[in-house]
Amino acid sequence: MKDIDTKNLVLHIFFGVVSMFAMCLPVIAEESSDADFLSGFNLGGYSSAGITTSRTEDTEAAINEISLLLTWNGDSRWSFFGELELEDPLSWNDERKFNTKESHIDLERLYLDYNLSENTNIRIGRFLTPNSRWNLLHASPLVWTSTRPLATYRLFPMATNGLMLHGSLPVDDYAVDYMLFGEVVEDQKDDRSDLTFEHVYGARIALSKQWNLGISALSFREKNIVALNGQSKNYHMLGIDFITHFHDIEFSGEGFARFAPNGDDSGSGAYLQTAVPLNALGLKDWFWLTRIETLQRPVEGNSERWLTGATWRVKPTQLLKLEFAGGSNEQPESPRGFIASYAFFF
Amino acid sequence: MRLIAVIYLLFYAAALWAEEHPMVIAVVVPAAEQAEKLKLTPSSLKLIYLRKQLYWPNGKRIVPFNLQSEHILRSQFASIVLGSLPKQQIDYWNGLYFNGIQPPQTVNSEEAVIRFVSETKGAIGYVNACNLDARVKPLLWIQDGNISTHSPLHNCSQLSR
Repeated sequence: MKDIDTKNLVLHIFFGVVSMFAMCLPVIAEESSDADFLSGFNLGGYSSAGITTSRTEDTEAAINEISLLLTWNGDSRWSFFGELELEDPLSWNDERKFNTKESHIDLERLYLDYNLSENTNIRIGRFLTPNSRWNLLHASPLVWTSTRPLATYRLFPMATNGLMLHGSLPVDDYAVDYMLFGEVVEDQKDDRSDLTFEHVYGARIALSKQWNLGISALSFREKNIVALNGQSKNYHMLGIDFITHFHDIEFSGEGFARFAPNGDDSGSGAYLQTAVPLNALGLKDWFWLTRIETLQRPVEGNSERWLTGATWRVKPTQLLKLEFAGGSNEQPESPRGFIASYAFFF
Repeated sequence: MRLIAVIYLLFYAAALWAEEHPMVIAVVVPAAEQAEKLKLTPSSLKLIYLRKQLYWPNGKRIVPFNLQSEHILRSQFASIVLGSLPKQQIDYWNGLYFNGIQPPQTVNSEEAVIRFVSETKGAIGYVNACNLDARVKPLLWIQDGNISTHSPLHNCSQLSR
């Protein structure tokens, strides 16, 4: 996720909270008491910690993140959601011992939803860009592996500041989720990332049927600070994702293809993943994981990954993950080697 | 010996009766609610219990109630309306939690469903149709895997409870 400096973080929170109160209180005052207003808040979150034995770096143990989720739902048509994440709050390796040097705060999401009708809502604020199933459900207790597929974080903006029209429509015995969105406020510069995005807009539909198919279209301008000396390029992108089960085996995958208007090298990526329950071996709630990945980016060339491992669902909200990853090229979010982690909701 | 035979025959008859008369589930809202304003349909019922539809057409927030996951009625309701059993929905509810949406509130008994639904604005729940009373208003009926807006013919007796 994009990191923002302290001043901007405070402004974001201030803007969000003031907006929420300004818009919600007049409605609340007519319909319910202050006690009802306060009882509409819910606070939760998730966290993960792990150890990485990389091929090229020192072994490192770390608390990966502590993420707080704050929601508010009252009697009005407004609702509020915010996610504030403390990333890498504490890490240890042989050279630097215990340290907090990588620690930083990210405002992952902060938005208000207004219900227009039973099937239509409008969202205002910062939200996860809805063009990838993994991006929308990337919390560590929700995904089988400690590492994130390359294609889901190097090809598109992971969050957008703007407006979104979204809802669900009933069609026969399944639901169609739709999202139309556009950027209003450009993201802040992130010193830790070589990529910045602007002029983001797009759409996504997802079918809640056997294959849980999602199709996304996105347009944006990407600035690559390192590889292209800060040059910007416009891209259109198509994405497709699915998740399905066959004899209790979970199959999932995503594919992305970017197109540059002038036919330049643009980039693409995909992954396929399976999760096989090991109940037949007497290992209740253990799953065997395999994943293959590919990523191609302009100038940077191709990267491949393979991954295999096992994940234990300790409780419905807790996962213990053990995995080996290999492949080509270094990618900071996807190290090659042995990775173990424990993730949980609270 | 004769008593044992009679008890056996009674149980056998009960089993046969239950097989021929499967439980009817009534989907209920508070009795004071104006049904036509809610526009509840079989397909919107699914969206409501998946928490994809959070508001009634009149703008009231929907408060759905579920029975606990081991309850026989919950299993029937979940498999017919949502297409899966509660234990198969763990990933789904975790995903919604990540996006700030809570699953339907769970209560322990059908009496609790009726009580909470009758006392909560925007509430919806489900009970065995034979346990309905004046505190709630049935809007949909579930029987034999079908969801209907019309009350099916059903005969309530001790055997169906």
